[in-house]
Amino acid sequence: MSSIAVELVPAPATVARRETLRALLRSKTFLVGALVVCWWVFCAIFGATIAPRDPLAQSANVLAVPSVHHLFGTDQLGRDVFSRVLAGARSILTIAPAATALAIAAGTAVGLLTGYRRGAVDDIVSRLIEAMLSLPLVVVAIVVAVALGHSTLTLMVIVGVLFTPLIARTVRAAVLAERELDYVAAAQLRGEHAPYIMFAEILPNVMGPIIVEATVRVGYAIFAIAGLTFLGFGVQEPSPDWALQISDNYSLLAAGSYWWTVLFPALAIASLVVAINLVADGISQVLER
Amino acid sequence: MDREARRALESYRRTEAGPLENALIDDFVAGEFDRRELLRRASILGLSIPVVGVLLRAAGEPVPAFAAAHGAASASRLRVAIIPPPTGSIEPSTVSDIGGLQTASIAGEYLVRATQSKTLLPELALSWSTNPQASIWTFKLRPNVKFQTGQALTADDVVATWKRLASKGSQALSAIGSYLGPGGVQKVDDLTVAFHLNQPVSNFPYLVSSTTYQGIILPADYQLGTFTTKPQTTGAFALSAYTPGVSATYQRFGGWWGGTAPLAGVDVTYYTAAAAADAALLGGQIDLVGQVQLATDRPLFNNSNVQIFTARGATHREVPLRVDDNNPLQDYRVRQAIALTLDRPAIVKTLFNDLADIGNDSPFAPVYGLATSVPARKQDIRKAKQLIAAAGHEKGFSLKLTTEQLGEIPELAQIIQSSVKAIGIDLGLSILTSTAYYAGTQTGPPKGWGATPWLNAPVDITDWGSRPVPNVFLVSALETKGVWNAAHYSNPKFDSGVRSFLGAASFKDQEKYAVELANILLHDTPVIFPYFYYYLAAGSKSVKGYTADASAVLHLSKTSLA
Repeated sequence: MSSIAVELVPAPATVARRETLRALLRSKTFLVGALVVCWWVFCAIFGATIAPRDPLAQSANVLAVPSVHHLFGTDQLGRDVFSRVLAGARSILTIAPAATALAIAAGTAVGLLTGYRRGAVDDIVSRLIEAMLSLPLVVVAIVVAVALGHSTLTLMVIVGVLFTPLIARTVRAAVLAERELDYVAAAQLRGEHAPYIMFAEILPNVMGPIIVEATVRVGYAIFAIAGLTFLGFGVQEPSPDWALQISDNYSLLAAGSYWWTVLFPALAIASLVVAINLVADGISQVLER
Repeated sequence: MDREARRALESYRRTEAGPLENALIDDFVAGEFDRRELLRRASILGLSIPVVGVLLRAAGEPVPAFAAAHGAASASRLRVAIIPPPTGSIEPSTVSDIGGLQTASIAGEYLVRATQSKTLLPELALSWSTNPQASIWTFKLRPNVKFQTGQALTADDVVATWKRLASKGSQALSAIGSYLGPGGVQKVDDLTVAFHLNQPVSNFPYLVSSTTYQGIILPADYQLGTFTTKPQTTGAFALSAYTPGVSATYQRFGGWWGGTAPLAGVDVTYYTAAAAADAALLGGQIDLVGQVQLATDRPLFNNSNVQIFTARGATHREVPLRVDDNNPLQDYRVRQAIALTLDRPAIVKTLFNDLADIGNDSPFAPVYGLATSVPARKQDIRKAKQLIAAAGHEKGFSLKLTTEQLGEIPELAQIIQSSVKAIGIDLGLSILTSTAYYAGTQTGPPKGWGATPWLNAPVDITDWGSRPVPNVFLVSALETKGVWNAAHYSNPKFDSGVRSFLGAASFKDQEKYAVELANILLHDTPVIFPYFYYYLAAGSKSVKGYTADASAVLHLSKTSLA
C-alpha cells in the first residue's frame, strides 16, 4: 500500500485575510487609532472599577481646580471629573456601535436588495432613501426623540434608522458592480434563489466597503449621539456620559472659568472619534491595495 | 412718646379705622411685629403715609422716608438680555413664562407695585381700602393717567382688564380664581373700582399688584392679540417693535404720569442659552441680564465687572410626592423618610452658594415671617430608615423622578437621587425639556390633571415663581381642588385651615393658622420644599437705580446708565 503525501494548502480566502491582517498591523495609522480605541474600550468595561473615586459620588468640594487630589478637578456637584471621564466611555461605546450595527444590518439588506433587483424596487427605494437623506439628521432625530420619549434604546434606534439610508446607498453602489460579474451569472444559471445570491454570493465580495463604511459610521454615530445628548435628548443624568458632562457644564466656560469641567470630556470625545477615523483610514488603505 | 401723635392716632382709630386697621395697630403696639412688617401690612390695608407716620411717631419710631430718587433724563438706552425668549405670543392675561412676563412688564403698569421689601406702593391706584370683612376691596385710581394711545385711564379700563383676568383662559386665575369672578369687578365711579370677593382675603391688594404679572392695565377697548402691534400701556416705556424670539424695542413714553424716565429706551435681545447672554454681558454687548442663577451663570459671580442684583423672595422648587398613586408614596411615613434624607444646608450651599433660604416642607418661605416657630426639618437618616421600615419597605423600592431641564433642577434631581439611596430607594431620573414637561397641562379638578408629566408623575420637581404672600402655593398646589396640585393631596383639615388663613385679618391669627398648616404639611409631607432661592439679575457696573424683583418683572422706570 502506497502512501500519498498531501500538502495542506490554505484556502485563498484565508490567505487573503492573513495578508490583510498583516498589512493592517504594519499600518501606523491603524495601529495608533486601534491603540486609542482599545484604551477607551478598556475604560468602557473597567472604567468605573479603575477610577480613583466613585464617578457618581457627590461632595462639598465643588468646582475644585485640577490638582493632585482631583487630576481633572471636580464638577458642580463635587464629583471627580477624572473618574467621570474614565467611566463615561461606557455609554458612548455601547450606544454608538449598537446603533451602527443596526444601521449596517438594515442598510446592507436594503442595499443588496436595490442593487441586485434594480428596476422598480430600486427606483422606489432609492427615491425614498434620497428623500430621507435630504432631511437634516439632527432635526429629524430630535423630532423622533420627542415623539418616542427618552431612552437608550430609543437613541440607538433613532441613530440606527437615520444611518440606514447612508449605508444602503454605499452597499447598493458596490452591489451594482458585483451583479454584472460572472460568478453571479453562474449562480443564476445554477438556479439559485435571489436571497442566496445576494447574501451568500455577493455579500462576501462587498464586505470591504461595508467594513470601511461601518468604521466611519461609528465615528459619526458618536457625534450624533453626543449631539443629541448635549441637546438634552440622549443619555440621562446622572450618567458620566461625556456629552452630558459638556452639556451640564458648558455655561461655566464664559470668561474662561471652570474650563476643566468641559475640556476633559470634550478631549475624550475628540480622541475617540479621531482614533476611529484613523482605524477607518488604515482599513481603507489596506483594502484598496 | 409724641402726645400729639397719640391724639391723632386715637382720632384716626375712632373716626376712620375699621376692625382690620385697628387690629393692625393693636398688633404693632403689642410688639407682635417690627417696624418693617408694619410698613408692609399697612401698605396691604392701604393706610396712607401720614397715618403710618402718626402711628410710628406715637410708638416712638422714626418716620420712614418714601421719597424716590429719579435720575436725570438722558439719551442712553439700556440693553437687556431676556432668557429664554417668550414661548408664545405676548398677551398679558395669558402670559405665564418668564420671557413673556418680562417683555410685557417693561411696558406695563399695575394697580399696585410690590417692592422688594414686600411693601405695596400705589401705581395706577392711589389708595385702597376694605370693608370690615375684607371681602370688598375698593381702589381709587390715579387721576390724569394716559395710555400710550392718548386715552385717559378710567375705571372702565380697570374693570375691563380685571374682568378679562378673572375669566376663563386667564393665567391670573391661579392667583385670584378662588376669590374673584368676572362679576365681582365693579365700577363705583369714574376713578373708583371695587372688587367683590367670594370670600374674605385679608391680603388681596397683593393679588392685584405687580406680583400677579398678568394684571397690566390696558384700555377698555383693547383687542386681544394686539399687545405687540401698537403701544397701549400706561408705563414709562412704549413697546415700539417686537420680533418674536429675536428682540423687542421700547421708547420712552413722553406722556407718562410719573414724569420722564431717565432712559431714552430699552433694547431687549432674547437668548436661548445663559452662556451666550453671559458672554454678551462680559463682552459689553448688553447691560443687564433679566435673570441669572448660580448654576447656569456661575462665571458672572465674583466678577469685578459685574454687579449682581438680589431679591429675597419665595421662588422655589417643589418636589410633589403623589399621595394617591399605587406605590409606597401613599404612606406618609415613606414621604417623611424621603424628606429626612435631604441635607438642606449642604444643598443650598452647593446649588446657590447660600443665596437661598432653607425650606421646611411648607410654602411658608422665611421671607413671609410666618410659622417660623415650627421646628426645621433636618437630615436624619436613622429616623428615615426607621420610618421606611415601619412602612414595610426596609428592603427599598424603585421609583422614577420626572423633571425639566431648567436651571439647577437637574442637579437637585441628582442630589435627591443620591440622598434617597441611603434608605434603599432606587430613584430613576427622567429629565425632559420644559416644553415636554408641561405639555398637555390641564386645569385640574373637576376635570382632572390629564396626562401632563408635571401633574401626574409619582415624583417630580417643578419650578415656582415668587409670590409676596403664600396664597397661590396654598390654594393651587396643596388644596384638594388646587389646579396645580401635583401631589394630588387631599386633607379636609388642611383645606379648612387654608380658608381660615386667607381670611385672617390679624397677624396673630395669620400666624396661628400658618403654624397649624405648616405642622399638617410636615406630618403629611405631600410636597418637599427644599429651598426658597433669591431672585438674581446681573448687570454691568454702569447700571444704576435698578432693583431686582422677586416676581421676575422688569421695572425700569427709575433705571439709568452711568
